[in-house]
Amino acid sequence: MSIINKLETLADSAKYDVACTSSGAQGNSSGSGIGNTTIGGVCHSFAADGRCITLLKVLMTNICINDCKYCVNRKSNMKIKREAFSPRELADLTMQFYRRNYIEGLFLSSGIIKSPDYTCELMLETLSILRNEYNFYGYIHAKAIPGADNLLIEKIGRLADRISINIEMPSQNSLSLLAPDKSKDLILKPMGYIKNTIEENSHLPAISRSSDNLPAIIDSKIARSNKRKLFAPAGQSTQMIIGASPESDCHILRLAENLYQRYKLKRVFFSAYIPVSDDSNLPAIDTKPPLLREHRLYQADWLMRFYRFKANEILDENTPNFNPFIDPKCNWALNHKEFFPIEINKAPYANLLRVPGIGVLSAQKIVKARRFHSLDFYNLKKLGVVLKRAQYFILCNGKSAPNFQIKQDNLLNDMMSKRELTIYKEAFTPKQIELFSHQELLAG
Amino acid sequence: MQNRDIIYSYDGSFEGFLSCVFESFVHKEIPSDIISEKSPQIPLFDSIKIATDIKKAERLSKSLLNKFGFDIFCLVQNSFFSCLPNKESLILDLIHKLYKNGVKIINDLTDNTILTLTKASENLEGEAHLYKGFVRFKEHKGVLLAVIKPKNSVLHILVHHFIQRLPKEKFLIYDETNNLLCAYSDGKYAISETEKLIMPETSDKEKSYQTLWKKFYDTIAIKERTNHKLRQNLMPKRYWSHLTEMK
Repeated sequence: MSIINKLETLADSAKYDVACTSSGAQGNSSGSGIGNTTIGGVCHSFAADGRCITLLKVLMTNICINDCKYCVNRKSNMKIKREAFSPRELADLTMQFYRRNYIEGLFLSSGIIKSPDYTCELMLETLSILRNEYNFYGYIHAKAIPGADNLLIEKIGRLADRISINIEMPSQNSLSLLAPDKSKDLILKPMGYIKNTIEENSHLPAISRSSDNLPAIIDSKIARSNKRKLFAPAGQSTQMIIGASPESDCHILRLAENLYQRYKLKRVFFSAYIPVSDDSNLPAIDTKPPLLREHRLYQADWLMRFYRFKANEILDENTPNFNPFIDPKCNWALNHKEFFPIEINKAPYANLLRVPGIGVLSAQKIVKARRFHSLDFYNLKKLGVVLKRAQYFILCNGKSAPNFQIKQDNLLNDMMSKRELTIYKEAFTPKQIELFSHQELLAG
Repeated sequence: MQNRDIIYSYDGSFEGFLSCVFESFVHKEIPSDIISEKSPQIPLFDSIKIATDIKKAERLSKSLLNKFGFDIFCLVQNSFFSCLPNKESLILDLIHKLYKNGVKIINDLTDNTILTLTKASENLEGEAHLYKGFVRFKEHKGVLLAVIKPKNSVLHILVHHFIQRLPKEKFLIYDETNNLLCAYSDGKYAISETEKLIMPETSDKEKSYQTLWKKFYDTIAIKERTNHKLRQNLMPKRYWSHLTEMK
């Protein structure tokens, strides 16, 4: 079988995995090998679906002994070709792509061939050729295979920058219904093991984390050997499928918050379910993927990670699902009128972050600049604040924006993006009001 | 400092520009404009030609670094290499402000000079970051070749990135906007001006890697999620001409 056919099949089978980031690790080969990693990561291209391409995202093999109903690689799926890379083949392809700057590294996952341990050993061999034989210092993200021996997961973690286990479904019920070969324990146990191993290793002196900052007197060989000892320096992530099972947005968001806190995950990814099977427990095969819902979850995830929001501030039992028309930050602001308006020249940084139209960067710039002069609306505009939105929630030196008036129509226009406004208008023209359910709208 | 109705002209290099700044301090004068001999505009008024003096440029660089730190030096350098029109006068203004008021002034984003240069520098860094991903090498007789077409002049940043990344390779990156060629081999690099770079024929082996990459690129997109507008926002069309996968 030619390499191009293998690549096609094994990329096609891997494309539903979301995480294609290369961030969180920093290091280089000190001149002796090839490759480096940068803390912010680098996107190398963007596919026709607008998703970033950073890593060579492929499966070791799409042969699988499991029969997860939502997965295109389930063993009962007779419609796909089955292939496997040899470790050498895949390592060579990675190197050639990397040299040409097509990619930032390798994202290696796999179907389960023979057994979890056997699969892990194939992956391990690939990573070992890259790291030990080719002296590859680029980014490697590896999936841990649930059910594999801890020792094998540990070995993979010593070679990879990031390691992840997919939580797959947002609840135990959905998991047992749709992934009969998997259980919550099977997933959470290795996740806990990885968390503990990362923590144990984080006590290594900071100097070994990045050979960039090494004083010249330290032999580069020490730096190299230390880097090798680090266990998944870019941390652990996970992903779950959204829309294949009945959980509410609130449930999913709390689960994500829990995973960040208990398992110290770097990222939780959400993946809108794309029908790949006509199983009766799954949405019909012609269901549109819930892209707007996925988008809202990422917006909320952002609020938790960068804007100091808690899950229960964003959604609760009374409002368990996202508003399809308004983003979660705007939604919070409109429901917390008592918090506003805030005075731009005095409000603490944390409060600035709560204002729709003020992002992390513009909040930082405001804090810097107001030490010199009190800021007015003209200054804010120059600093990158979206006044259209922010004007409803802020004062500059006790004053509202020039010519500012609250009118219901303007308010809606200003709080919604073009796309949100379009679906809002479609939903609330009298003829169509009953045709759309909440869920259908979120399918976007 | 006195505003004078004179125009400095210089050879277009960073050192040449720093020599102009030096001159401005020596004569305690602020010229009404500083123009590069390389800029395509036809000068309407007479100008004073400032000779590029490497020693003066180095003295000023060191002073900027020691007094104000690396970040400020980067701001000056990035602003100079940015595509901002009229950048020379603004940077001169910035440097005068720094020596007069100290490094803290840099946070005063209500100041038009500081805000404009901060944005120009951010814009350059943003484009350099994109190019860390968008550079596409092709191999020819063991050398990696790439062409870029940036708005700003980003080679001075890119070269350090790729030296760290590919220390044992030999590579050439040609910037066709600014006609600059960067060459790296065996731990040394040089950036020089070049009129044109004629790319050699792509070998069959190279074509096969390009085909593999294109196959991967096309396969990895999820059809049900097709979103060309989003792709174009994240990867503007002006970069496509040198992206293997977009040809």
